[in-house]
Amino acid sequence: MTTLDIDKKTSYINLRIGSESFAISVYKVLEIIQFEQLTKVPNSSDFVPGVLNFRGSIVPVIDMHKRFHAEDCNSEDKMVVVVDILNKDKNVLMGLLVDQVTDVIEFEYKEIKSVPDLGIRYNPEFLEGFIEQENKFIMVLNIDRVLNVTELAEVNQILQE
Amino acid sequence: MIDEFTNGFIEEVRELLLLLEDDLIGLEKNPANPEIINNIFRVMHTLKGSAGMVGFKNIQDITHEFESLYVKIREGSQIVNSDIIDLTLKGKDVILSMLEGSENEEVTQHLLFQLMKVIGQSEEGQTGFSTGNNSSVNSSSVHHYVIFFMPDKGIFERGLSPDKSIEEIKILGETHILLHEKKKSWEKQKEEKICQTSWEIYLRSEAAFTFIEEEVFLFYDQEEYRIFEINPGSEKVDTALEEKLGKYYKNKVEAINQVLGFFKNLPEPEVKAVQNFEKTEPVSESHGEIIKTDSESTVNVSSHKLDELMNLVSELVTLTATMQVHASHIEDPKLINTLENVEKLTKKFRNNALDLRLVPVGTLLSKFKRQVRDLSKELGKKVNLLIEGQDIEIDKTILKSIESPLQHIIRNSIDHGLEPEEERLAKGKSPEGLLKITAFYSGASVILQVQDDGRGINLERVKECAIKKGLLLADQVVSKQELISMILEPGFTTNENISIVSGRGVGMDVVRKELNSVGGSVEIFTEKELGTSITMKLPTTLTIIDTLMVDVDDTQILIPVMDIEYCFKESNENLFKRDNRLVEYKNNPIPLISLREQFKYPASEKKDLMVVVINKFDRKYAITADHIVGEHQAVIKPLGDLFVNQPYFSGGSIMVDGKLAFILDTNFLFNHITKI
Amino acid sequence: MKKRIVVVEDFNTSRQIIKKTLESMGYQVDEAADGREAMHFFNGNKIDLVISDYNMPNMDGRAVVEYIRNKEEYKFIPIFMLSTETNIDKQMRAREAKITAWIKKPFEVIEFRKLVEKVLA
Repeated sequence: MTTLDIDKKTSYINLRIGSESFAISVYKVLEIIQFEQLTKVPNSSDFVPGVLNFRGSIVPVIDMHKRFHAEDCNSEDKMVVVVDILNKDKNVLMGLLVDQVTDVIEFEYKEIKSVPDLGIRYNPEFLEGFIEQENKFIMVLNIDRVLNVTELAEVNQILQE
Repeated sequence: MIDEFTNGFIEEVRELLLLLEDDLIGLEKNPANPEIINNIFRVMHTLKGSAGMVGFKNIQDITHEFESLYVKIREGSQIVNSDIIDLTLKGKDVILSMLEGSENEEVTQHLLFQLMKVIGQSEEGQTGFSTGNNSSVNSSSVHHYVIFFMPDKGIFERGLSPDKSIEEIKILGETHILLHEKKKSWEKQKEEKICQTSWEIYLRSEAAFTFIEEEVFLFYDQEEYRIFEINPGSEKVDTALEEKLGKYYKNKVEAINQVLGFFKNLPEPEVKAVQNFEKTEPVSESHGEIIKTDSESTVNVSSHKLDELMNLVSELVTLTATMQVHASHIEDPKLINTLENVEKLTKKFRNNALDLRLVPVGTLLSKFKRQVRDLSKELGKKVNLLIEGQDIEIDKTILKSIESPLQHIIRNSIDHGLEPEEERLAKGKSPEGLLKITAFYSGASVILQVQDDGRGINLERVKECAIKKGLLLADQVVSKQELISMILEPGFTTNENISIVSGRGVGMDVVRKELNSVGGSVEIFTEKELGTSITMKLPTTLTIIDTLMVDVDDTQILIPVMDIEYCFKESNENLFKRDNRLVEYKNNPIPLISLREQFKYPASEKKDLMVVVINKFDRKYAITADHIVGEHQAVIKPLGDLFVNQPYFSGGSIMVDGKLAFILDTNFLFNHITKI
Repeated sequence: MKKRIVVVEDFNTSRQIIKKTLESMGYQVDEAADGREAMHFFNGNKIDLVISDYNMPNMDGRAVVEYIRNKEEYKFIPIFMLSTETNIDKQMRAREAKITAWIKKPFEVIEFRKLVEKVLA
């Protein structure tokens, strides 16, 4: 009669950045909005194309292509995924600029396979692992680490100078 | 569902229900007896827990309702009368029927309905809410408790530490704690791991009774603690409490007066020496100051509610601005007039709301009395602490954010600034080091100053360190103030520097950053052997400021009106014909900053530009922009941690059309420029 | 340094569930199927908490506690005892048994987590 969450299926949002697919836990996502004009912050890096007004707060938008060094196909239909991440015990809102939000997928936590050390382009620290669905590989992102605010702030500053 | 768990459960419940019936009959004769009430509560609570696990959801539901009822009875918002007794007895019958599988749904429903009615009546519009910070709060009132904590001798052998529990109680509110040590001092007892001490704790807290019992005393037996809630306004105390006090004090009456007297005024922090008597002699430690306020005319408001109010005010301000924009397109004089009145009213409303957020600085400063006392003990230095200006008011949020910087500064003062007693005496100074914290108004700001009469900052060492860090050239001539300001540079103070720079320095760059984030600033002055003074300048309000909106290419910049001295138009050519970035103002050259240049935009092709002369902290400089758009009442929104390192903006604001504008950090900008 | 918990429980499924729960909370877990096996862990290494079942073959919960409390380095560490008896009062109180707390089996994971976090805070 013990209740443990390991076996529960969890939902993930499937995103496309460049030519790859990534998954983020649904619980971290607040809203998915159409890419609108952002307000550019003077002297910020390309990493952060701008900030937007989300429910009365100023939320920075991170260009995920730049974060993952992916090919930017400059599509018109980009989306911004607003996430709520944990940074040093504080909840922080951020927007992710991605190419597409394709669908919501479900899989069990235990299905996530760990990332092999070889043959992976992305920093394994960013990934929980990957799963295989219908012959495709989807990288499961550890979004708190991908958007490590301290790191980003530093990068933001370095690129300014 | 018959399995080993269920059988055991049924047995247990039958026993409990028998006891419950006994208790109810006893309660009928003694409707206010807290012991019985507590027992009944425990039964309902236990049943609720076990029923859930074994799968009797119906029992779980009904005991949950009864539990709520008895919580109310325990807290005093519901009195026990014959109706309550009847109801509970009926409840017992229903639970028994559920247990035996012979439940009558109609009867259950009827009972639940009656229960809800009773519980609903005692709510009386009191909505429970949490402050957001502390989940233990479930009512807005303050409770007064007398807690006796008597851990068993062998408590350590259960893997528990009474000190931990005492700490947990301390953080719940303001406390006054008396130790009753038998045979040896508590310190000695801790060494030998045998507990022969009990604690008499007076607690004023918003925490609920159940919270203290279930969280703090989670691992302790019922015999090891007693919690009494008292009403400080009454003349008498519960007989049970009286008895308990009688065990510790020979004179019961005095003891009762002590209890009631405590909650009227907390004594100053003072630790008496421990005396080893066979019969206990209490050692008193007082924690937390209570600022004496006129209790009839003040209301405790939760931060959560205030924040909500501020959000609503901000929205109102934005809406009024939107209305005005639309109204200006419709030329109806009556409408415009009405709107002007609305705007005046909104401004008043805003000021009142902002005012609510103001709290006296004293609430924070008094906290430091305790910190200084602890630090002086820890570091072995005698400190004379003076605090002035406790009534100066400051925004709640700002107050919260300066707590950490202040702690840093105070710690540094005592640790590095003040010399040990012998050294002071050798220098002809008083044996006690002086630490003075003052608060006062200056213009629209609040100044908080921390002064000590210690060694002062060793500037020679600072210079050495700066050269080492590459911040200074070896033979560079540098003024004293410039040297001092280097301490505030990030990267200047690292652990290795602590040994080199024996003065201030640890974490000062963090202090400055934290202050800047709320629109404040810090300055340091020091004199060798005379001491050091650290001055923090803080804005009194945070959220809404009047600004002048200018645009620089596509970007909209907001400049706080209170920092603006003058505006004028000047030709582009005249301004930038020379290489030096200076402009003449009132016959004096002042630095000129082209925002376009700073933001790396292409140079303007306009013939004329707008020049805004800024005066911040008595430093004057000018900025150029393309146009002046107009006045804007800006609701300040933080830009977030991502932009914490940039020097231009102190925040952002959402415009009426949804676009974002950036608030110029007039202080930081100047510092940033003069470094170049 | 991760905190180290020794789990002593003879029923494998239960032991695995407890172990997984604790590991997901960030603790290091050493497991033993009975008291005798558990003894190996108490060899001078730092142990922060012991969670042991009461009814076990070979060496039951009480014996495990006896053993632990007789060792100088482990005399004062926290110990949780798991028990299926629904009426805890029938057993010794925690203080007589020289343990920190009894935990009723089956337990709600949320409650269990809370207890562990609290005692290791």
